[in-house]
Amino acid sequence: MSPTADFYGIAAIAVCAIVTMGIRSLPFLVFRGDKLPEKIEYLGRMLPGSIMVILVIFCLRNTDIHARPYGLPELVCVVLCAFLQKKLRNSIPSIAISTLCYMVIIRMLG
Amino acid sequence: MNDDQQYISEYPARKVTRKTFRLAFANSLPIMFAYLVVGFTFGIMMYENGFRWYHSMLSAMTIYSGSLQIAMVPMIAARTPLPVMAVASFLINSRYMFYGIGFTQRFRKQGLLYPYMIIAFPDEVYGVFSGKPYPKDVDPVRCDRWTAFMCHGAWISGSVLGTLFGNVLPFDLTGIDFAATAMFVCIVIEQWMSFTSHLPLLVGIVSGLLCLFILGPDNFILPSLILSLILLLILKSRIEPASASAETTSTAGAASGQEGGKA
Repeated sequence: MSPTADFYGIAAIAVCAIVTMGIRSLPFLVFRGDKLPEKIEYLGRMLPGSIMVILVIFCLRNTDIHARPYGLPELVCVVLCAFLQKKLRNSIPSIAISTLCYMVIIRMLG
Repeated sequence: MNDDQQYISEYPARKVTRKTFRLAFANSLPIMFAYLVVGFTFGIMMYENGFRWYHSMLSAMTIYSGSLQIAMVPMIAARTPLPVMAVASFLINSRYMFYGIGFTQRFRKQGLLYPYMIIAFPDEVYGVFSGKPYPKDVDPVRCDRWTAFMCHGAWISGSVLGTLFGNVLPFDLTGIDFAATAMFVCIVIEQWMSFTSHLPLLVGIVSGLLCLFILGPDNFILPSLILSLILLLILKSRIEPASASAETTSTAGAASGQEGGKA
């Protein structure tokens, strides 16, 4: 049996690494000046607001809402986490409690 | 450039160091849990495909992207041609292009570690750096640096441990990756309460869900990011009336305390 970890395997890892590093460097290469254009500075301040919401959707993108349990564990735990964070303003307990609930709920339903 | 150092000097250095470390650790803690477990999962996949711990370590150090690393293993096992791997990597990770906008000045303060901070910048670290602004008695440069180190360290450790011990794991941790989702939810809540305008968050909801329903889970992220970028530019005058823009701080997304335009 030839393992995947031959020259091809290492080269494939290198390709993934180089492409990813390139993507990450891109904005830093494009906006090198000391003073950013006003529009870019504005985007830098506002874009995280939009991206965080999109990342929540990204994390939950493979949830199947058409079959049991219809995404209910995810919905309940996201709402719980949001509620805790609003009340406590401290993300460690919000994350810990909602994650624990999620792990318990998917075991009870599964 | 040195304004951070200036106000720190008002506080005793050891107290600043301790507070800075504590904050970096507290911010990294949920990420480290999630990274250990997801990294472990990646490590198991690597082990099952004949890779050794040092291959996992190399991947975790250089790629440092859960979604790509986990997608990469079966592709390598299927001997996918390298150009196809490159295109797939680009499509999976294109969202990172947007993360650097707003961090160019901040990361430059890291000096020699500037290139490292650019490379070690996955979703969750981006989330922490875009979240609550640091308090005044914390050194922001070291806090950023230590947060990056701890998260990256956990990711590398998880990947290596998974490759070494994945076949003898005695307990089932399914679902612990919800911690990453929960972390983003917390950041959204914090931003909802601190942003002067809620429109950036609504733009995210609309473009994210719209693209998800039209394009499906595998292809929605890049279009939704582009769409929200365009919407933010169109809505600029409503999100940020001209008077407010002059007063806002350099911290990404931080509210300046001024109640701008929108209800």
